[in-house]
Amino acid sequence: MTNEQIIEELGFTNADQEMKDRVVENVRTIVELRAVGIIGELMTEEQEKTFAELQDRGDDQAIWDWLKSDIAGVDVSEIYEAALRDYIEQRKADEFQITI
Amino acid sequence: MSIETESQPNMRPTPPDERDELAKLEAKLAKKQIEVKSLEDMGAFDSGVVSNEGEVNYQEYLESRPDDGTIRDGEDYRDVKTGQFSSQESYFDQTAPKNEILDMLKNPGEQAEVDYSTKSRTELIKLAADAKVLGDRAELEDIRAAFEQNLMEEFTREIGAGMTEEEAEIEKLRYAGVDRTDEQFNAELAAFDSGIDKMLELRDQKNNADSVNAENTSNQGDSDKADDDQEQSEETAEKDSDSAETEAELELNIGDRVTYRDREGNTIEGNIVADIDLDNENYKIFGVETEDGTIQYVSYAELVKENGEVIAGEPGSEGEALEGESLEEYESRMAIEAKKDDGSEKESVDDSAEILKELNDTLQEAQDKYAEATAKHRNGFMGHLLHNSRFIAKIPLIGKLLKGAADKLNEAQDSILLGPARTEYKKALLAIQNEIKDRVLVEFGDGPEAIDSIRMQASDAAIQSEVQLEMKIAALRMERSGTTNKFMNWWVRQNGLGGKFMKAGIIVGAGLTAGAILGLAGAPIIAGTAFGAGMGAGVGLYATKKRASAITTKGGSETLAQVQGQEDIQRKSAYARGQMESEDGFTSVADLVSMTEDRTGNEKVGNRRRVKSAAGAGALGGTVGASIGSAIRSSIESGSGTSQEVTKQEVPKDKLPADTKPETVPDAPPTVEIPQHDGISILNNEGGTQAIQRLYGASEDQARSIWNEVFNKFGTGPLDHTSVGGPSMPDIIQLPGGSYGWSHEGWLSSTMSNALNEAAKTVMG
Repeated sequence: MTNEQIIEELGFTNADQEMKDRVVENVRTIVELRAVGIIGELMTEEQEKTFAELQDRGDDQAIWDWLKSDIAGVDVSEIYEAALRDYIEQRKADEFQITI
Repeated sequence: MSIETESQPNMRPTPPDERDELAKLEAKLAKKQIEVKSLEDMGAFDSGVVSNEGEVNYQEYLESRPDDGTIRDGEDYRDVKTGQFSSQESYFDQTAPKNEILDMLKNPGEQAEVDYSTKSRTELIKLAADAKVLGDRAELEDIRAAFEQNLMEEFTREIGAGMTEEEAEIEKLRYAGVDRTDEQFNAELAAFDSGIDKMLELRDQKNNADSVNAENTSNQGDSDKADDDQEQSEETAEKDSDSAETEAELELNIGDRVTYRDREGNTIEGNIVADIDLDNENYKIFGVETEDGTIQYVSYAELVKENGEVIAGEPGSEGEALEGESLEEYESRMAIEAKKDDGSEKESVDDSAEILKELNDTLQEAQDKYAEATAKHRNGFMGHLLHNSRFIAKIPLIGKLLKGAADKLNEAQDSILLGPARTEYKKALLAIQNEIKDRVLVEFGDGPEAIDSIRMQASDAAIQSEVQLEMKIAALRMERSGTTNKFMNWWVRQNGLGGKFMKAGIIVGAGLTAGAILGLAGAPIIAGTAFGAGMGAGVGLYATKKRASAITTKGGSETLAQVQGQEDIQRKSAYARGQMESEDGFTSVADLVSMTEDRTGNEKVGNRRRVKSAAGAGALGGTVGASIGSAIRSSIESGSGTSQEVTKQEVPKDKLPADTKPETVPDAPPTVEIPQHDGISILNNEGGTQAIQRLYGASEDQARSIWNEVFNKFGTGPLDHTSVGGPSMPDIIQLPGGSYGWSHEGWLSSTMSNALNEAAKTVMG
């Protein structure tokens, strides 16, 4: 989902650019946190070991590569995208109801 | 078989004495037949037949036959001693498992040997209370030891033990990294001891009540009472009746917020987390989780005494709900009105800021509680996502994880663990959204532009709040032991995406929530800045303290507190000087995938930036928030046809030169920072320098210089747009007529955005 799509989905098309920027920034941060949280929950014992080994070696790049391809057999981008869509739906469902 | 006495006309009638004899013989025969049948049923005549394994033979039956009681006789039941028929009920009464608890309550001291290890927590509390009453310390210790043993097994049991492979796998995933702590263990033990005391108190209350009731009954039964006595008695009875009615109407449920008084008379607040069934509907004990996280056991009577009116009564003696208004909206409105009616009006900025601060403080507190509830329990985090999990649930492994959480965190548990905190959080957020609505309506009326503005700002505020909430949840999860902690620590330490929001995002959010509203209220921008920065610094210190104690650097030899020591001093100095450098600690949340792909070793930034960028970002949050409000106000005014003159007067104050800014806010740091944007989006038909003026508040000349700088750098060459979801293409093109401008509406490449930021700093800084 692109930034423009996020803006459109959440109804910020008429907002000024600063608000749009902030909304995109914040939404992506929320989603990232959720995705990271899920990945943490998903790790199996074996993966924990692998993670610990890579961490001990201090090879952060290897951890990034491993996370991208191997975490719980799930592509992290898939988790991220799904969490993003869920959040957009949540926002829409929880939209402030204006009563005058 | 029986002997029939047939009537035979050719025979003489049987004399009476013979009839008696016959009847006796018949009875004897019938008895014998029963005995024989019974023996036959029990296998007494099965000579030479070896019983099957596990089958009871007659000899064994004889050996184990009870001396008294009821035995089964074919399809009938008989008393062992008399041989008379007995009822099935008597048979089952004696063979059914004994209600040991009940027996012991009735006959304390005569209980049989009980296997405490099989007893539930509540049963053990009851048994321990009995032992305490009897002064049987040894028994009390045995019971407590059994509870401790059970607790230990619960804490240390192997995850997945006794489960199928699949179930074990799910459980393993679910419980990864959530070892229970000694602190929790000791808290459970303390709660057990407290439960025993409560049980004894409850029994005392029951005994007292029984004795009072007995007296009342006796009094009421006296028909010779004097009239005045009778009236008094009737009054008492009426009161009792009312009281009973109130109690009968009052329902206490898990999740209810209650207060009660402890032994010292202190008022304690907490949420009901357990309803202990005492096999007596008139007397109940509730487990109440108090603010410090311990569970206290409180009797129903005590809770009714303190909460009867609150829980059973209708809300709002102060006012009534508007038609069509939900309870939540009503409460939110009342909270705001209570603040408004507090001897003040929203005339001055100070009062306005105070209300905002209160609302924001309430929101922060609610966020903290919700985050703690989410991070505290094993299924809290997945439970937090459960309500909005349509897409992630489609990923098989996550679906399993969610299902596991859903099974464990059923509706009742959710109402204990997350429900109340979630409700409180939503209510606090709603109060802020209502405040936004009120202020926009007061200033701009209820035209379509204003309504659209309210909708966007309310949504913006919710998103800002949710960023803070997610960060708090993450921060708390980082404090837990196990993999989650290690993984999240690592993520944060990378200081890429994770690092940025952990270091700066919370503070940015805090500044923005209040700052955005301040801007709308027409507060000087400088106030927004100071407010945001102040809050930012405060939250930053809090977050740093908590995390510093929890996070260790790689290898675990050095805590973040040590690492941050020097940088904290730098942060304070930087703050004091008003040098609010963001050091890209704010914004810049790119796509996760591109982040992982783009990451290189030299991107790794150490802890050095954390606190410093946090304070900077806090100030930025306040500034941005205030300017947002002002900008929206301007847009509404322009849209609603406000005169140019008025619009000029309402030019956002952050765009004014420094020397024209109000002097009413002392000690504010100079606002010399140049806004930096992680992503830059061009508006429809926006010219090259127009966009720069909008983005950076630059003058025409400054905008021209910045434009020239990026134009000279990139010209019309193609730039990589993958990070904003597009192909490689130029951001600048030659327009019809020969001049140059932006190639498209929407997001510029990150290369161009960064270059514009740099150029703005160079030209304007």
